[in-house]
Amino acid sequence: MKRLHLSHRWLGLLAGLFALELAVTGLLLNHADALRLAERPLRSPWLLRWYGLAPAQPGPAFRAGAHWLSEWDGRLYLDARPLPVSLRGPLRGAAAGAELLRVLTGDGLALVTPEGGLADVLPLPAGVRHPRLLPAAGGTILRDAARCWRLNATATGWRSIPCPAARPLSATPLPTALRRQLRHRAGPAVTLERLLLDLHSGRLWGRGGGWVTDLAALALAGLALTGLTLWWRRSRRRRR
Amino acid sequence: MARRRLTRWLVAPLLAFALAAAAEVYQREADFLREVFAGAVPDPAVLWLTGERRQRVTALLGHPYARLRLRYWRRGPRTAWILEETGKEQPITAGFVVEDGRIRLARVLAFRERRGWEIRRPAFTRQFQGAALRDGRLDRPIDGITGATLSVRAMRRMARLALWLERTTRAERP
Repeated sequence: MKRLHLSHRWLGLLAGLFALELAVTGLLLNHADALRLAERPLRSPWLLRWYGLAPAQPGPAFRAGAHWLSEWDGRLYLDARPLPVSLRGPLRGAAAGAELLRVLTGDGLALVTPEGGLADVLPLPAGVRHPRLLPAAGGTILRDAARCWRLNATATGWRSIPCPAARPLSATPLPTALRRQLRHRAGPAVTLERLLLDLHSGRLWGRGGGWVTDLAALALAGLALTGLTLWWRRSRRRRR
Repeated sequence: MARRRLTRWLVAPLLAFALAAAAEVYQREADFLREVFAGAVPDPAVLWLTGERRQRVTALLGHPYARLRLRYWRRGPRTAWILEETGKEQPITAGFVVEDGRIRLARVLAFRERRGWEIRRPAFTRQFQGAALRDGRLDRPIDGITGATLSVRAMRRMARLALWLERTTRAERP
Protein backbone atom coordinates (compact mmCIF):
# COMPACT_ATOMS: atom_id res chain seq x y z
CA MET A 1 0.00 0.00 0.00
CA LYS A 2 2.81 2.33 0.97
CA ARG A 3 4.54 1.53 -2.29
CA LEU A 4 1.35 2.33 -4.16
CA HIS A 5 1.10 5.68 -2.35
CA LEU A 6 4.65 6.53 -3.29
CA SER A 7 4.13 5.54 -6.91
CA HIS A 8 0.97 7.61 -7.04
CA ARG A 9 2.81 10.64 -5.58
CA TRP A 10 5.74 10.42 -7.97
CA LEU A 11 3.53 9.85 -10.97
CA GLY A 12 1.53 12.87 -9.88
CA LEU A 13 4.64 15.04 -9.65
CA LEU A 14 5.93 13.80 -12.98
CA ALA A 15 2.69 14.14 -14.84
CA GLY A 16 1.41 17.25 -13.07
CA LEU A 17 3.19 19.87 -15.13
CA PHE A 18 2.55 18.05 -18.37
CA ALA A 19 -1.08 17.65 -17.41
CA LEU A 20 -1.35 21.38 -16.88
CA GLU A 21 0.19 22.14 -20.27
CA LEU A 22 -1.94 19.52 -22.02
CA ALA A 23 -5.08 20.82 -20.35
CA VAL A 24 -4.46 24.45 -21.30
CA THR A 25 -3.40 23.75 -24.91
CA GLY A 26 -6.20 21.20 -25.30
CA LEU A 27 -8.78 23.64 -24.02
CA LEU A 28 -7.65 26.33 -26.45
CA LEU A 29 -7.48 23.93 -29.39
CA ASN A 30 -10.98 22.73 -28.62
CA HIS A 31 -12.19 26.23 -29.40
CA ALA A 32 -9.77 26.94 -32.24
CA ASP A 33 -12.49 28.10 -34.64
CA ALA A 34 -14.15 30.45 -32.18
CA LEU A 35 -10.80 31.88 -31.13
CA ARG A 36 -9.67 32.01 -34.80
CA LEU A 37 -6.34 30.55 -33.85
CA ALA A 38 -5.47 29.78 -37.47
CA GLU A 39 -5.79 33.47 -38.31
CA ARG A 40 -3.31 34.70 -35.72
CA PRO A 41 0.15 34.80 -37.24
CA LEU A 42 3.24 34.81 -35.03
CA ARG A 43 6.43 36.23 -36.47
CA SER A 44 8.87 36.48 -33.55
CA PRO A 45 12.41 36.08 -34.93
CA TRP A 46 13.25 33.34 -32.39
CA LEU A 47 10.08 31.41 -33.23
CA LEU A 48 10.73 31.61 -36.97
CA ARG A 49 14.30 30.46 -36.33
CA TRP A 50 13.01 27.55 -34.27
CA TYR A 51 10.76 26.48 -37.14
CA GLY A 52 13.55 26.94 -39.65
CA LEU A 53 11.69 29.75 -41.44
CA ALA A 54 13.60 32.60 -42.97
CA PRO A 55 12.23 36.15 -42.73
CA ALA A 56 10.91 37.71 -45.94
CA GLN A 57 13.52 38.71 -48.46
CA PRO A 58 13.09 42.19 -49.91
CA GLY A 59 13.07 42.71 -53.64
CA PRO A 60 13.17 46.02 -55.49
CA ALA A 61 11.14 49.01 -54.34
CA PHE A 62 9.97 52.04 -56.33
CA ARG A 63 8.54 55.35 -55.28
CA ALA A 64 5.32 56.34 -57.05
CA GLY A 65 4.31 59.83 -55.98
CA ALA A 66 3.46 59.68 -52.28
CA HIS A 67 3.44 55.88 -52.32
CA TRP A 68 5.92 53.03 -52.28
CA LEU A 69 5.71 49.82 -54.27
CA SER A 70 7.87 46.96 -53.11
CA GLU A 71 8.29 43.25 -53.64
CA TRP A 72 8.82 40.74 -50.85
CA ASP A 73 9.22 37.05 -51.68
CA GLY A 74 7.39 37.57 -54.96
CA ARG A 75 4.41 39.34 -53.37
CA LEU A 76 3.79 43.02 -54.14
CA TYR A 77 3.01 45.69 -51.55
CA LEU A 78 1.64 49.20 -51.85
CA ASP A 79 3.11 50.96 -48.83
CA ALA A 80 2.39 48.49 -46.01
CA ARG A 81 -0.61 46.95 -47.75
CA PRO A 82 -0.41 43.74 -49.77
CA LEU A 83 -1.68 44.03 -53.33
CA PRO A 84 -4.07 41.37 -54.69
CA VAL A 85 -2.45 37.96 -54.84
CA SER A 86 -3.10 37.74 -58.59
CA LEU A 87 -0.60 40.58 -59.06
CA ARG A 88 2.80 39.01 -58.61
CA GLY A 89 6.37 39.96 -59.20
CA PRO A 90 8.88 40.55 -60.55
CA LEU A 91 8.41 44.25 -59.88
CA ARG A 92 10.11 46.20 -62.63
CA GLY A 93 8.95 49.74 -61.98
CA ALA A 94 6.25 52.02 -60.65
CA ALA A 95 5.04 55.54 -61.31
CA ALA A 96 2.22 57.78 -60.20
CA GLY A 97 -0.55 58.57 -62.68
CA ALA A 98 -3.34 61.13 -62.64
CA GLU A 99 -5.63 58.85 -60.62
CA LEU A 100 -4.10 55.40 -60.82
CA LEU A 101 -0.65 54.15 -59.98
CA ARG A 102 1.25 52.34 -62.72
CA VAL A 103 2.98 49.18 -61.57
CA LEU A 104 5.19 47.38 -64.07
CA THR A 105 5.38 43.63 -63.44
CA GLY A 106 6.26 40.54 -65.41
CA ASP A 107 2.57 40.20 -66.38
CA GLY A 108 2.16 43.71 -67.76
CA LEU A 109 1.35 47.19 -66.56
CA ALA A 110 -1.02 47.09 -63.60
CA LEU A 111 -3.23 50.09 -62.88
CA VAL A 112 -3.73 50.30 -59.14
CA THR A 113 -5.80 52.69 -57.05
CA PRO A 114 -4.04 54.51 -54.17
CA GLU A 115 -6.13 52.30 -51.84
CA GLY A 116 -4.62 49.13 -53.34
CA GLY A 117 -7.50 48.10 -55.61
CA LEU A 118 -6.57 46.51 -58.92
CA ALA A 119 -8.16 48.43 -61.79
CA ASP A 120 -6.62 46.55 -64.72
CA VAL A 121 -3.52 44.82 -66.05
CA LEU A 122 -2.52 45.99 -69.50
CA PRO A 123 -0.45 43.58 -71.62
CA LEU A 124 2.88 44.97 -72.80
CA PRO A 125 3.60 45.51 -76.51
CA ALA A 126 4.55 42.32 -78.35
CA GLY A 127 8.17 41.32 -78.16
CA VAL A 128 9.12 43.59 -75.26
CA ARG A 129 12.17 42.34 -73.37
CA HIS A 130 13.41 43.68 -70.03
CA PRO A 131 10.86 46.52 -69.85
CA ARG A 132 11.47 49.60 -67.73
CA LEU A 133 9.53 52.77 -67.07
CA LEU A 134 10.87 56.18 -68.00
CA PRO A 135 10.04 59.35 -66.10
CA ALA A 136 7.36 61.20 -68.04
CA ALA A 137 5.46 64.25 -66.94
CA GLY A 138 1.75 63.69 -67.54
CA GLY A 139 2.16 60.25 -69.07
CA THR A 140 3.66 56.78 -68.88
CA ILE A 141 6.55 55.75 -71.08
CA LEU A 142 7.78 52.20 -71.40
CA ARG A 143 11.10 51.22 -72.89
CA ASP A 144 13.11 48.15 -73.59
CA ALA A 145 16.61 47.90 -75.05
CA ALA A 146 15.75 49.55 -78.34
CA ARG A 147 12.20 50.87 -78.41
CA CYS A 148 9.79 53.09 -76.50
CA TRP A 149 6.03 53.36 -76.16
CA ARG A 150 3.69 55.84 -74.56
CA LEU A 151 0.52 54.76 -72.79
CA ASN A 152 -2.51 56.33 -74.49
CA ALA A 153 -4.80 58.82 -72.77
CA THR A 154 -7.40 56.19 -71.79
CA ALA A 155 -4.69 53.82 -70.48
CA THR A 156 -5.91 51.09 -72.83
CA GLY A 157 -3.03 50.71 -75.26
CA TRP A 158 0.47 51.66 -76.30
CA ARG A 159 1.73 53.97 -79.03
CA SER A 160 5.23 53.60 -80.40
CA ILE A 161 7.34 56.77 -79.94
CA PRO A 162 10.99 57.79 -80.36
CA CYS A 163 12.89 57.12 -77.17
CA PRO A 164 13.41 60.26 -75.09
CA ALA A 165 16.78 60.91 -73.54
CA ALA A 166 15.97 59.86 -70.00
CA ARG A 167 17.25 57.26 -67.62
CA PRO A 168 14.79 54.53 -66.61
CA LEU A 169 13.21 54.78 -63.20
CA SER A 170 15.35 52.80 -60.83
CA ALA A 171 14.71 50.97 -57.59
CA THR A 172 15.05 53.02 -54.40
CA PRO A 173 15.64 51.84 -50.82
CA LEU A 174 12.47 51.84 -48.75
CA PRO A 175 12.21 54.23 -45.79
CA THR A 176 13.52 52.45 -42.69
CA ALA A 177 10.21 52.44 -40.82
CA LEU A 178 8.31 50.98 -43.77
CA ARG A 179 11.03 48.44 -44.41
CA ARG A 180 10.87 47.29 -40.80
CA GLN A 181 7.09 47.10 -40.95
CA LEU A 182 7.11 45.04 -44.13
CA ARG A 183 9.88 42.74 -42.97
CA HIS A 184 7.64 41.84 -40.08
CA ARG A 185 4.40 41.68 -42.06
CA ALA A 186 5.52 40.17 -45.33
CA GLY A 187 7.37 37.12 -44.17
CA PRO A 188 6.27 33.61 -43.32
CA ALA A 189 4.48 33.11 -40.03
CA VAL A 190 3.60 30.35 -37.63
CA THR A 191 -0.06 30.47 -36.67
CA LEU A 192 -1.02 30.29 -33.04
CA GLU A 193 -2.97 27.13 -33.86
CA ARG A 194 0.15 25.48 -35.26
CA LEU A 195 2.16 26.46 -32.18
CA LEU A 196 -0.48 25.10 -29.80
CA LEU A 197 -0.78 21.86 -31.78
CA ASP A 198 2.97 21.36 -31.64
CA LEU A 199 3.05 22.17 -27.91
CA HIS A 200 0.16 19.80 -27.26
CA SER A 201 1.79 16.93 -29.11
CA GLY A 202 5.31 17.68 -27.93
CA ARG A 203 6.50 18.04 -31.51
CA LEU A 204 7.66 21.57 -30.79
CA TRP A 205 10.69 20.04 -29.09
CA GLY A 206 11.55 17.78 -31.99
CA ARG A 207 11.31 14.03 -32.30
CA GLY A 208 12.25 13.50 -28.62
CA GLY A 209 9.47 15.84 -27.56
CA GLY A 210 6.88 13.42 -28.93
CA TRP A 211 8.34 10.59 -26.84
CA VAL A 212 8.34 12.75 -23.72
CA THR A 213 4.66 13.55 -24.32
CA ASP A 214 3.99 9.83 -24.68
CA LEU A 215 5.70 9.21 -21.32
CA ALA A 216 3.66 11.99 -19.74
CA ALA A 217 0.49 10.41 -21.14
CA LEU A 218 1.54 7.04 -19.69
CA ALA A 219 2.32 8.71 -16.37
CA LEU A 220 -1.17 10.27 -16.35
CA ALA A 221 -2.68 6.88 -17.12
CA GLY A 222 -0.60 5.37 -14.31
CA LEU A 223 -1.76 8.14 -11.99
CA ALA A 224 -5.38 7.38 -12.77
CA LEU A 225 -4.88 3.64 -12.26
CA THR A 226 -2.96 3.97 -8.99
CA GLY A 227 -5.48 6.53 -7.79
CA LEU A 228 -8.40 4.24 -8.60
CA THR A 229 -6.66 1.32 -6.93
CA LEU A 230 -5.98 3.33 -3.76
CA TRP A 231 -9.58 4.52 -3.66
CA TRP A 232 -10.93 1.01 -4.15
CA ARG A 233 -8.76 -0.48 -1.39
CA ARG A 234 -9.61 2.33 1.01
CA SER A 235 -13.32 1.97 0.40
CA ARG A 236 -13.02 -1.83 0.98
CA ARG A 237 -11.25 -1.23 4.29
CA ARG A 238 -13.94 1.25 5.39
CA ARG A 239 -16.69 -1.23 4.62
CA ARG A 240 -14.93 -3.83 6.87
CA MET B 1 12.10 -4.36 -77.77
CA ALA B 2 9.88 -5.00 -74.75
CA ARG B 3 12.06 -2.69 -72.64
CA ARG B 4 11.73 0.11 -75.23
CA ARG B 5 7.94 -0.29 -75.29
CA LEU B 6 7.85 -0.25 -71.48
CA THR B 7 9.99 2.90 -71.38
CA ARG B 8 7.67 4.57 -73.86
CA TRP B 9 4.65 3.75 -71.73
CA LEU B 10 6.38 5.11 -68.63
CA VAL B 11 7.84 8.23 -70.19
CA ALA B 12 4.80 9.34 -72.20
CA PRO B 13 2.44 9.90 -69.26
CA LEU B 14 5.20 11.68 -67.29
CA LEU B 15 5.88 13.91 -70.25
CA ALA B 16 2.19 14.59 -70.69
CA PHE B 17 1.90 15.54 -67.05
CA ALA B 18 4.93 17.79 -67.22
CA LEU B 19 3.60 19.51 -70.32
CA ALA B 20 0.19 19.92 -68.75
CA ALA B 21 1.68 21.36 -65.59
CA ALA B 22 3.90 23.76 -67.53
CA ALA B 23 1.31 24.90 -70.13
CA GLU B 24 -0.04 28.33 -69.32
CA VAL B 25 -0.68 30.84 -72.12
CA TYR B 26 -2.41 29.17 -75.06
CA GLN B 27 -3.12 32.36 -76.98
CA ARG B 28 -2.10 35.92 -76.31
CA GLU B 29 -4.78 38.56 -75.96
CA ALA B 30 -3.58 40.43 -79.06
CA ASP B 31 -3.61 37.25 -81.20
CA PHE B 32 -7.11 36.34 -80.03
CA LEU B 33 -8.40 39.78 -80.94
CA ARG B 34 -6.72 39.73 -84.34
CA GLU B 35 -8.34 36.37 -85.07
CA VAL B 36 -11.77 37.49 -83.86
CA PHE B 37 -11.75 40.76 -85.84
CA ALA B 38 -9.94 39.38 -88.90
CA GLY B 39 -6.89 41.56 -88.30
CA ALA B 40 -8.80 44.87 -87.97
CA VAL B 41 -8.92 45.16 -84.21
CA PRO B 42 -10.95 48.19 -83.04
CA ASP B 43 -9.75 50.42 -80.22
CA PRO B 44 -10.85 49.10 -76.85
CA ALA B 45 -13.64 50.69 -74.89
CA VAL B 46 -13.62 50.74 -71.11
CA LEU B 47 -16.33 49.67 -68.71
CA TRP B 48 -15.89 50.61 -65.07
CA LEU B 49 -17.30 48.07 -62.62
CA THR B 50 -18.43 50.49 -59.97
CA GLY B 51 -21.64 51.28 -58.15
CA GLU B 52 -24.71 49.33 -59.20
CA ARG B 53 -22.86 47.64 -62.02
CA ARG B 54 -20.38 46.22 -59.53
CA GLN B 55 -23.25 44.92 -57.42
CA ARG B 56 -24.84 43.21 -60.42
CA VAL B 57 -21.54 41.61 -61.40
CA THR B 58 -21.01 40.45 -57.82
CA ALA B 59 -24.46 38.87 -57.86
CA LEU B 60 -23.68 37.11 -61.18
CA LEU B 61 -20.32 35.76 -60.07
CA GLY B 62 -21.04 35.24 -56.40
CA HIS B 63 -18.13 37.55 -55.53
CA PRO B 64 -16.71 40.88 -56.71
CA TYR B 65 -14.82 40.78 -60.00
CA ALA B 66 -11.06 40.85 -59.52
CA ARG B 67 -10.62 44.15 -61.39
CA LEU B 68 -12.31 47.52 -61.28
CA ARG B 69 -12.53 48.04 -65.01
CA LEU B 70 -12.86 45.94 -68.15
CA ARG B 71 -11.60 46.64 -71.62
CA TYR B 72 -13.76 45.33 -74.42
CA TRP B 73 -13.73 45.53 -78.19
CA ARG B 74 -16.72 46.21 -80.45
CA ARG B 75 -17.20 46.27 -84.20
CA GLY B 76 -20.83 46.49 -85.18
CA PRO B 77 -22.76 43.81 -83.32
CA ARG B 78 -19.61 41.80 -82.52
CA THR B 79 -18.00 42.26 -79.10
CA ALA B 80 -14.97 40.56 -77.58
CA TRP B 81 -14.42 40.16 -73.84
CA ILE B 82 -11.32 38.88 -72.10
CA LEU B 83 -12.19 37.82 -68.58
CA GLU B 84 -10.45 36.23 -65.61
CA GLU B 85 -11.92 33.99 -62.97
CA THR B 86 -10.33 31.77 -60.36
CA GLY B 87 -10.74 28.02 -60.77
CA LYS B 88 -9.46 26.48 -57.58
CA GLU B 89 -6.61 28.81 -56.65
CA GLN B 90 -5.27 30.42 -59.83
CA PRO B 91 -6.99 32.68 -62.39
CA ILE B 92 -8.19 31.30 -65.72
CA THR B 93 -8.15 33.77 -68.61
CA ALA B 94 -10.82 33.25 -71.26
CA GLY B 95 -11.92 35.14 -74.36
CA PHE B 96 -15.58 35.40 -75.37
CA VAL B 97 -17.12 36.75 -78.55
CA VAL B 98 -20.72 37.84 -78.06
CA GLU B 99 -23.09 39.08 -80.76
CA ASP B 100 -26.69 40.15 -80.20
CA GLY B 101 -26.96 38.39 -76.88
CA ARG B 102 -25.39 35.09 -77.92
CA ILE B 103 -21.92 33.64 -77.48
CA ARG B 104 -20.24 33.04 -80.84
CA LEU B 105 -16.91 31.86 -79.48
CA ALA B 106 -15.48 30.84 -76.11
CA ARG B 107 -11.81 30.07 -75.71
CA VAL B 108 -9.43 29.50 -72.82
CA LEU B 109 -6.47 31.83 -73.36
CA ALA B 110 -4.43 31.01 -70.26
CA PHE B 111 -4.66 28.29 -67.61
CA ARG B 112 -2.53 28.27 -64.47
CA GLU B 113 -3.75 25.38 -62.34
CA ARG B 114 -2.30 21.89 -62.27
CA ARG B 115 -5.63 20.19 -62.93
CA GLY B 116 -8.65 21.03 -65.01
CA TRP B 117 -6.83 22.18 -68.16
CA GLU B 118 -9.22 20.00 -70.22
CA ILE B 119 -11.59 22.97 -70.39
CA ARG B 120 -9.42 24.37 -73.17
CA ARG B 121 -10.50 21.57 -75.50
CA PRO B 122 -12.85 22.64 -78.32
CA ALA B 123 -15.19 19.79 -77.38
CA PHE B 124 -15.86 21.62 -74.12
CA THR B 125 -15.79 25.26 -75.25
CA ARG B 126 -18.01 24.50 -78.28
CA GLN B 127 -20.88 23.96 -75.82
CA PHE B 128 -21.01 27.70 -75.19
CA GLN B 129 -21.66 28.60 -78.83
CA GLY B 130 -25.11 30.05 -79.23
CA ALA B 131 -25.68 30.29 -75.47
CA ALA B 132 -27.73 33.22 -74.21
CA LEU B 133 -28.65 34.57 -70.80
CA ARG B 134 -32.04 33.71 -69.38
CA ASP B 135 -32.96 34.89 -65.86
CA GLY B 136 -29.31 35.31 -65.00
CA ARG B 137 -28.37 31.80 -66.11
CA LEU B 138 -27.16 30.24 -69.33
CA ASP B 139 -30.04 29.00 -71.45
CA ARG B 140 -28.48 25.58 -71.95
CA PRO B 141 -26.69 22.99 -69.83
CA ILE B 142 -22.91 22.84 -70.09
CA ASP B 143 -21.59 19.34 -69.50
CA GLY B 144 -18.85 19.17 -66.90
CA ILE B 145 -15.50 17.38 -67.04
CA THR B 146 -14.49 14.88 -64.37
CA GLY B 147 -11.63 16.31 -62.37
CA ALA B 148 -12.21 19.83 -63.70
CA THR B 149 -15.34 20.83 -61.80
CA LEU B 150 -14.05 24.12 -60.47
CA SER B 151 -12.58 25.11 -63.85
CA VAL B 152 -15.88 24.29 -65.57
CA ARG B 153 -17.77 26.41 -63.06
CA ALA B 154 -15.37 29.30 -63.61
CA MET B 155 -15.99 29.12 -67.37
CA ARG B 156 -19.76 29.10 -66.81
CA ARG B 157 -19.51 32.18 -64.59
CA MET B 158 -17.39 34.00 -67.14
CA ALA B 159 -19.83 33.10 -69.92
CA ARG B 160 -22.72 34.55 -67.91
CA LEU B 161 -20.70 37.65 -67.21
CA ALA B 162 -19.73 38.14 -70.86
CA LEU B 163 -23.39 37.88 -71.92
CA TRP B 164 -24.54 40.31 -69.26
CA LEU B 165 -21.80 42.79 -70.08
CA GLU B 166 -22.67 42.67 -73.80
CA ARG B 167 -26.32 43.29 -72.99
CA THR B 168 -25.34 46.23 -70.77
CA THR B 169 -23.25 47.84 -73.50
CA ARG B 170 -25.52 47.08 -76.45
CA ALA B 171 -27.15 50.48 -76.11
CA GLU B 172 -23.78 52.06 -76.92
CA ARG B 173 -23.66 50.35 -80.30
CA PRO B 174 -23.29 52.99 -83.03
